[in-house]
Amino acid sequence: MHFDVLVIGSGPGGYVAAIRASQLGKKVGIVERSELGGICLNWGCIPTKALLRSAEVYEMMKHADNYGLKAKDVAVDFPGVIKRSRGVADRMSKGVTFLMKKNKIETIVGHGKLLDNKTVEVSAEDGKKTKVTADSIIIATGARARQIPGMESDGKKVISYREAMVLDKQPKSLIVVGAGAIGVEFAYFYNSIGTEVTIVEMMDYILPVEDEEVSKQLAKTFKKSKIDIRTGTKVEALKKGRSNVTLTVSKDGKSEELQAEKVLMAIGVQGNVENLGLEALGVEMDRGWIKVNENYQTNVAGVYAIGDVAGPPWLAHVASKEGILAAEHIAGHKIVPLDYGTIPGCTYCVPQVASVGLTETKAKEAGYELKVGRFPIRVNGKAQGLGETEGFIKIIYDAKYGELLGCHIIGPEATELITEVTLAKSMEATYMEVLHAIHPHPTLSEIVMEATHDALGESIHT
Amino acid sequence: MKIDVLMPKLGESITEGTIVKWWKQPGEYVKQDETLLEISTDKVDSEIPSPHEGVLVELKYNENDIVQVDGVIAVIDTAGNGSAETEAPAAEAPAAPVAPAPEPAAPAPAPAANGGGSVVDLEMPKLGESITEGTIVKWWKKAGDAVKQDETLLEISTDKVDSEIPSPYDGVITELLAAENDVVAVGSIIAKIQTGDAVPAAASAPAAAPAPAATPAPAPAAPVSTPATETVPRQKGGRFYSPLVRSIARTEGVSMAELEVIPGTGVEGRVTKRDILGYLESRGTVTQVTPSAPAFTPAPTTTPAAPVPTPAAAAPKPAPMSDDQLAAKYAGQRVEIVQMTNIRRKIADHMVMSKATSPHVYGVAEVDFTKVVNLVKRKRPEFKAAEGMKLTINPCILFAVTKAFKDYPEINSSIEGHTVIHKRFLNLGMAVATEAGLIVPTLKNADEMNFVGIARRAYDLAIRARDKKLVPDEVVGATFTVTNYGVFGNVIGFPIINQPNVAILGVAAIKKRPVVLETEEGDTIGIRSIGYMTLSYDHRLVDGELGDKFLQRVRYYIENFDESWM
Repeated sequence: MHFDVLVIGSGPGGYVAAIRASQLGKKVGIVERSELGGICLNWGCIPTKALLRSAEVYEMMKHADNYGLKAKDVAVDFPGVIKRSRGVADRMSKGVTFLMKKNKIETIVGHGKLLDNKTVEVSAEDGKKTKVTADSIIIATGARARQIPGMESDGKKVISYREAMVLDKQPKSLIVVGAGAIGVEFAYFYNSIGTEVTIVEMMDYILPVEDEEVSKQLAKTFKKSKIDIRTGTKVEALKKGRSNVTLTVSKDGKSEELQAEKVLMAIGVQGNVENLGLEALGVEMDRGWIKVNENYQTNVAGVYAIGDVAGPPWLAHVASKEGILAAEHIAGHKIVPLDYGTIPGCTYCVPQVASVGLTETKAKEAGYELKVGRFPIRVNGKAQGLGETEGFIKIIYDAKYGELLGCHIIGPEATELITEVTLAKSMEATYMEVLHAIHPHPTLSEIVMEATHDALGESIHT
Repeated sequence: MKIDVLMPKLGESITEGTIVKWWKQPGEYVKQDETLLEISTDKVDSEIPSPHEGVLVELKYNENDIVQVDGVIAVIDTAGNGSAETEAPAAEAPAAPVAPAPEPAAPAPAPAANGGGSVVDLEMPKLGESITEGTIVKWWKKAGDAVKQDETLLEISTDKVDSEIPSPYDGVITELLAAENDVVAVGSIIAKIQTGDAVPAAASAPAAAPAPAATPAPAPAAPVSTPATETVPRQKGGRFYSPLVRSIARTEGVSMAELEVIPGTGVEGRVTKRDILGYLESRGTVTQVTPSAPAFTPAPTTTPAAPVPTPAAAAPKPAPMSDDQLAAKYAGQRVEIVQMTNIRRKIADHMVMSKATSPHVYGVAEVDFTKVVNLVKRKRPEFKAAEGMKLTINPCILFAVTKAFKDYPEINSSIEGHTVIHKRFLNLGMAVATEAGLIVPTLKNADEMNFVGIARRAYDLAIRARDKKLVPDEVVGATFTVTNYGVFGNVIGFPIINQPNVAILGVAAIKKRPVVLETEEGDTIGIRSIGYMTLSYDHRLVDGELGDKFLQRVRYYIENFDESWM
């Protein structure tokens, strides 16, 4: 079998790269050892959004009286929640199957390993090996949960995100180690459906990559909903008992023991770089990630790498874009390199958190003189109607040229609201254009405009 | 026209659907977006609107059939222009739920009909390709005044030139919508004119609208098939600059002309923030580097120079003082404080920009004009009789320049970043002093003209330049410029390059001088008409060898000007 382009891995990076290459007239094959769609569709973004939605609806039903409604006997059917999530993931994965067929992309099931820069050996589960050749190869094998040596996930008491979304029984208590997006989302999910949740984070704030103010606000909300947050806290040891796990943690030199039914390890990801033949081929690596240039080429001719396996940021939307650019580069297009400073990040707990660009701290460190605007969600009319008034927006402009440097939103639909700002930023808009654009009333999006007014010291509604 | 209706895509993962119900049957008339059928998938039931307007000709599937996405499910005849099938829609149309408003009836923003004539909007005229706005310097008419077609209505100043704008209509001014000194965008309405019955000759306003008479629409019949597709023309030739890039340019005093030469690395070659910041950084160093050429500061008075090809948005860095502040500063002194005119301002910015952009090198040639002077003197009566204009030395110089370019075409270039654009055409700019300031009318494609063509064009441009009758397009696009400061009697000058050219030729006064002539009989002193010509050139591209050889070639063609060229 020979292809123009062979993609290894069918996550949001790989399958999108395959489609783009096919659109550009290439004969494309895609190698996948598990489900089409990768982690994102099967074990990541999509199924967790289904779980979180169940939690949100449950919370709303519990507080139906806030809306003048009555709901009796509201309860969580945990297996039902899990089943719905799996159904959603399933449908999305089938969608990828359809897209592969539609774009005449050949799917080869098995584990791909590079024999040289034009040959991949695919080993099927039954041990059968097939050799496939291609002019260009895109490695898009993604990443998996990072493990702490000695505290590896056993899938039962110590789990990763993968098990956390398909438990057969709701745990009574859960310790989440790591307060990045994954940890925070599961913490929110399990806490809202009634599990006792503790978050342990080494850094000083939860969601440490977000703007400090946002992190603080989220911590406040989480604490109100009884999540036990331990920041600046290190995990020292883990001991599995018969029905419990004991975690020894330390803060400022003082150690303490925490107990829970399960521990979720959410301390980041590591690249799926093993058994791909990379060492033999001499593919250059950087701290466990494949090293690529701005065209996603590795140091080996004809071999590309995109998405999580090619290093941070580990986000599905980045992987997809990288896949498109790599495919276009292979097809001989001149590509405009991705601006890694304008990648939105989203966390889907309640309230949602979304941001793009620099935090206020980072912007100051970069030497900008700032105009910072803020606007509380509670003043927004639409939010009042929704009954979701917690949170705020903070938007950061450069005082000299008016450049939009960053935006940080915590509140309802923050993850949708960030798109406007991302577009503005990638179009190199200044506050003038943001103010010039009419924001429909009543919408949550008005907060972007209001905060921009505020940045200029001319807030209308605060 | 018959169009296939396809099974629509119902979602990412959905490949097929079941037709639950057809809402229309063959022969029925269906409007666009009216429900055509109902489809069920494992996820959801959907009503599918018709993608076209017309008569349903055929159903390819029955109810309860399962159909693949993108399969043809029906055929619609979009009636066309009321051809054979018109009877069907005509019969059915009245049944359509919404009365189809015959579209051609409403001629969009038509001028209000008014007696015999109508009130027509007068738009700010298009003043040239790259010009998007102009300043109204003076209204020659006021509201209530009658105006004749082609009579001067107003005077406009742009960065390039001042123009008197004639009225496109006969009529009476009903309203002036822009005041003097207003800066107005091209295409904005600046006045309203009540015309007589005559309808404009000019194409500017959409005025009387395409006669709606076309379809009298007795029956709602023959529904005009497709909605009028209006295409908004993209701004021609204009490069897109992001708001941030414009903001940086404004803050840092980067002119439009400079912006236009910054190479872009963004989508479709757009200049990004990084590009302009990079440019600013390199510009900073450029201005500090001393060119290897003789450092010479031309005395501003004697250095006529190049003009003004592009609008310069440059803002002077320190906030300029207001008139009041200046008045205070110079209080008690015998000064007059005058604002620069538009043109003066542009010249100022352009000159600064040119000096900052190009490291100037100067070469001076001593040229013996005797032969040309004599030739011109001798041919003058004959030329006047044949061509109706006075023969001067100027076209001889211009013609010699065009010939020299054929030998050294490399100088006919511009620079963008580190890229050189070689011009395969020669637009010869010719600096002309006017009351308002220096302008450079351009002989387009001078390389294709013979001597008479050059003479006539140069004469015509010079006359019209002094009379303010030039069209802005006539003062842009020079690829090389000649400036003749000899007319004032000075014998040497050092002109500033007219960006984005890479060289400018200065011609000084021709004076009779005793010179040593080498003859076969030995050296002798003769009286010759001698003038100095200076070539200022951009050392980024043109090294001394090329610049000097080119200048010497111009000299050669002048000294050996052949009568047959005329």
